[in-house]
Amino acid sequence: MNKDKFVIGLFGEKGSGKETFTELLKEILPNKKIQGVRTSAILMKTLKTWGLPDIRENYSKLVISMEQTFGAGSLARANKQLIDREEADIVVIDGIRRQPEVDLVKSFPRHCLLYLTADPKLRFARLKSRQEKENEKNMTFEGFLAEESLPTEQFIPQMGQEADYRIENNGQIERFKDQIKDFCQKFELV
Amino acid sequence: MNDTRYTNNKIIIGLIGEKGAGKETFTQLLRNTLLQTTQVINTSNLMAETLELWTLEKSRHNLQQIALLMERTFGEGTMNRALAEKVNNSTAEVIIWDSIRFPNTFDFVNTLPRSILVYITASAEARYERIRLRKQKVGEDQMTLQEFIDNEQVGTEKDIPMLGHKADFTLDNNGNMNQLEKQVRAFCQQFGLG
Repeated sequence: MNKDKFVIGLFGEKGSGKETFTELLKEILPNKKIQGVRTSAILMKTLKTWGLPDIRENYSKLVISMEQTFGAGSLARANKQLIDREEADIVVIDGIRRQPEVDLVKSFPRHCLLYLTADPKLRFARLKSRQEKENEKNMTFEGFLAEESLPTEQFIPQMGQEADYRIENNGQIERFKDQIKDFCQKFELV
Repeated sequence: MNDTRYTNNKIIIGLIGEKGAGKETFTQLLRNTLLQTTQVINTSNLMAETLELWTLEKSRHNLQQIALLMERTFGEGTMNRALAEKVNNSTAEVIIWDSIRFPNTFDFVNTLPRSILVYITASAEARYERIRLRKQKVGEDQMTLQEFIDNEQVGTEKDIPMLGHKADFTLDNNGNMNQLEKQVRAFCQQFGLG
């Protein structure tokens, strides 16, 4: 167990470069053990154990029900313990969407809440080119903007105000890499 | 209804029994007797795995809470379906379903084509002593006899005796190991197992 690990709480809109961030961080810091963590992995594994479909609706049903029974913040507490057990030097918690996850990041002595953002037009173009989700293939720019105004998505820009660091990923990948290098220097990760 | 989707000709032994009745001992004796390959599908394991994922304490209370909340959240029969999936994935010839606590599970297993429902039971005093000695679950060795009895009247334990009386075979585990062994052999003979 590495008690001194640095925890990065990553949040950002779709297409802001969250996955690319972790890949580039590994390139920049080849001698550090970097572990990506999804706070939803516990939910995914629970559904698998019970032979239940891996769909978003079941994720939210499960977390609501578990927190009603075992108390608010149950998922964050479980993640805290799992992260504590990690051997990594740096843990990147990807896709922070709720306050308990923010509190989880802040519970580690060495942490940073990192907000990744980019111009909506750029993000829309990235989304279209990666075609990860079925419904994204035929999405219009208006539809994309409408989806971002859903209550579950609004948390992200609001949280942006609370971030310890902000990267505007409006450039090419080399530019993004330089921005991440600056971030590493600022937090003495190099 | 003859539901063969899950079983593929496997024999399913549905085990019913109160805490400390000797379900694990029965399973062990049965496995020693049978020539067929066996697998135990354990409902507590399902709950325990879930608690482990959530880094929650594996107390009897928490195990019960998980069972109740999963049924409430994903519909009645969620646990049956999860276990049936494990039966389906098993390559063993005999599956021991350990254990049956709810009427809907009893009915579910009962409708499987080659299922046998077995009840193992003993007096509350005898079971209480066994539970205290084994200290398997957190907090269990601190209970008084009365608390132990009261605890069985609620939640996940309350239907067990009623279901037991509907079983295809009953074993009385108030005696010693030899007496239980004899009953296991009688059980195997009656159902042509071994």
